Amino acid sequence: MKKYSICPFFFVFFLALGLQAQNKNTYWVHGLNDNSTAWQHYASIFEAERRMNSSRPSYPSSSGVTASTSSVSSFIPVNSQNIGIGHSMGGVVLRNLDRVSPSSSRRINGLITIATPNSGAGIANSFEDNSLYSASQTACNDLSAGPLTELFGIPWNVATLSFTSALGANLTTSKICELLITNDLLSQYAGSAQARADLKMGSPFLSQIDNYSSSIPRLSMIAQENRPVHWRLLSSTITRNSTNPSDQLLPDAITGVEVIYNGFFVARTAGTIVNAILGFINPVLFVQAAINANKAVQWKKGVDWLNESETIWNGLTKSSRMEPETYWVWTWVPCEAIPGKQLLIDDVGRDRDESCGEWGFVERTRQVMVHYPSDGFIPSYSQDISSLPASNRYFIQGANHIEVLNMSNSKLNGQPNDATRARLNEVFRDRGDIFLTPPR
Amino acid sequence: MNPKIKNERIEMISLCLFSQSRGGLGDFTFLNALVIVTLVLSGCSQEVITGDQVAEGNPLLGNKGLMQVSWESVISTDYQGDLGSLSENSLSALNPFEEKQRVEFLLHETGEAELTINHLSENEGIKIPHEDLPDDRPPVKKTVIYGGKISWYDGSGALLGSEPMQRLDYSTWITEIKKIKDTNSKEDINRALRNFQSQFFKANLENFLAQIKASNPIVREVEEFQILEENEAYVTIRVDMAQFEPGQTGINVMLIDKEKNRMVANRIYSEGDEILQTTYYGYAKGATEALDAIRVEEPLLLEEQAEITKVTLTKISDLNISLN
Repeated sequence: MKKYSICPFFFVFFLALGLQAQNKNTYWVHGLNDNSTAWQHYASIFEAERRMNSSRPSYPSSSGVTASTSSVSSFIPVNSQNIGIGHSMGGVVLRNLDRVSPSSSRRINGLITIATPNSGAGIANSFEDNSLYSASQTACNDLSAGPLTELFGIPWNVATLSFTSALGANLTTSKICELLITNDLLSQYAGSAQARADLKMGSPFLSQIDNYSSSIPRLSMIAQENRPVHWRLLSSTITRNSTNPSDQLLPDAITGVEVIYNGFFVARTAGTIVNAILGFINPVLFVQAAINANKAVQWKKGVDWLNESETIWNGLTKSSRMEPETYWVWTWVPCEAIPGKQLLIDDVGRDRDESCGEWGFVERTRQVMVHYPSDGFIPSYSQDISSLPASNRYFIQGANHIEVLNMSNSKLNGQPNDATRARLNEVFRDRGDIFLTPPR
Repeated sequence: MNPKIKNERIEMISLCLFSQSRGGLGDFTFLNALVIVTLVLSGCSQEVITGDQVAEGNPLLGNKGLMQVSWESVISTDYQGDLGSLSENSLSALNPFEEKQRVEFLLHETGEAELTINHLSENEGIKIPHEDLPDDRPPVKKTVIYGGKISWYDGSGALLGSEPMQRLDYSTWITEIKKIKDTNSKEDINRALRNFQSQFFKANLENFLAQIKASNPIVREVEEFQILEENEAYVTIRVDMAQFEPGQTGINVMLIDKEKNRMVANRIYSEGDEILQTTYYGYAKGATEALDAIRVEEPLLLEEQAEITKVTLTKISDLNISLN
């Protein structure tokens, strides 16, 4: 009797071993406006390292999630060893595929969403309500204000920066505005009307997917980029197909732009100060003080926009929230305040405050923007699937939306950082579920 | 002559013509127009020392240059008005910001300026929570604009980046400074600059106002000035910016304190009479009445109809200016 009772145990044991020994069929699904080449880097790495057959389906993302799901579904034969790995919209497509597939003929039996807008992509909302376009116009105005004041100043030609030539633009022309406003880069990020309808925050379609109670193992990988997320995202986008992709191109170049704008601002402030003082001796110079002050303010618009650009971008991607913030600032109220629209001498200093002309340090409270971590596109909270246990959640630090597809050149705190590969290795090596994929 | 100093005969058109123009320090655009005209008209020339020689260290000039200005500033930006009525997208661009800098400005005899900015700190009183997120870029601690390039450095003095840039050409200033030096004694100038005794030169303001009033042909260059109002304490002078500097638009109205002989405010209006910017100039109280505040108020045009004013305050301390 004992012999017979042991047989089923061995049968199950060897069956399990056999299943584990079977190669995994891994379907690497790209994101919005991308194609099957997107995942080629990691697909080939893991296929070489582990018992895995990698496939990279393509789908027409502009036609929305439903059509994309059908397309991907037709690419994947029914097999119990199928795993889906979806980047961005690809994750939504896989979740929808899981939702619409009958349990008897599942296309995938485990799925990983990476940098996926599970609760929506705020950029789609910002495109729809025109705030993306409006922000681009403001950017253009603020960045061009300083250079425009020097238009006739031959000695003040704005330096042509090396990074700008890489973008096909330089600061002395309106190209930077074209880049921000008329270039289709931003609209590419936002996707087609159908894709936006499906993927925007508050989308009924996403709610349907979220409300579906899945029975297959699911993992969520949440990419969190270093600051400044927007410049790193743009860098990765620009260089992703080059031999040396990097998220560092623009952060370094923009530091140079910030320095230049601030340099002009300070130089014009110097002009204001010197002329205001030497105007004591030659009053004509008071006019030059005023002109320099005006130019300094125009350059300051660019300085401030560059300082705030990450916050503005994070506002557009809904990667920020408002919080009351108490802060301390220097204040100084002029004794010769001009209350009316016209500068009338009788009005000057009419409502003079006792503390006028004195510097003070005052406390203020107002709503300020506080950033959520994000991959540059999708805030962490939206990349998450709230119903998953903590053990099914992985974090890819120092990666942006595009960079998760090829992190080989990424650095975190100056050190090489291929966090995507590290996290996927953890999954394939350590998981006890369908994701476990032995080395070759 | 020191053999190291090779004198070059350079057409210093601006120097010659500018001494007869109303010009001014920082009047680059006006100068440029003059440069073209004067290339034809002027035979005036002057021996100057090239920038390269200055960079090598000119034994005649030392490292002092013609004019030295230095100061420390805290520049804060904040917004006033009904911020609560703004959308989150509008508010995202309107966060308070503050930066502390030490600036050294050195004007060489060649007309080239050397600008050094030491970035001391940011947002000392303003905690911006999002800045807690990681940023592995080394902060820029120093910027130098000189010799046809702009360079920036980290805290250890290591060069982070450099870009070619036009030399800061302030050759027009030299004319003005020389004019000032020619018409005032060195002791007077130094006393005025050291103690900021603007009232010491009140006669210059009185002459200036008299010239405007008289529309004297000798001072054609101030014809575009117009006195709007005047009482015992103040005078307001209107200047058409377009006439004063090509490429500029709008009207500038200056409020000048006649007692102290100094500008206390100016307001710039658009051609449509909208206020573009109001700048207030503050002076320390006490024995040394140094310029210690520049407050710029700028109404913002936002999608919302709310009246929001951007206030940029520059707190100036340790201001030193000297003519050599």
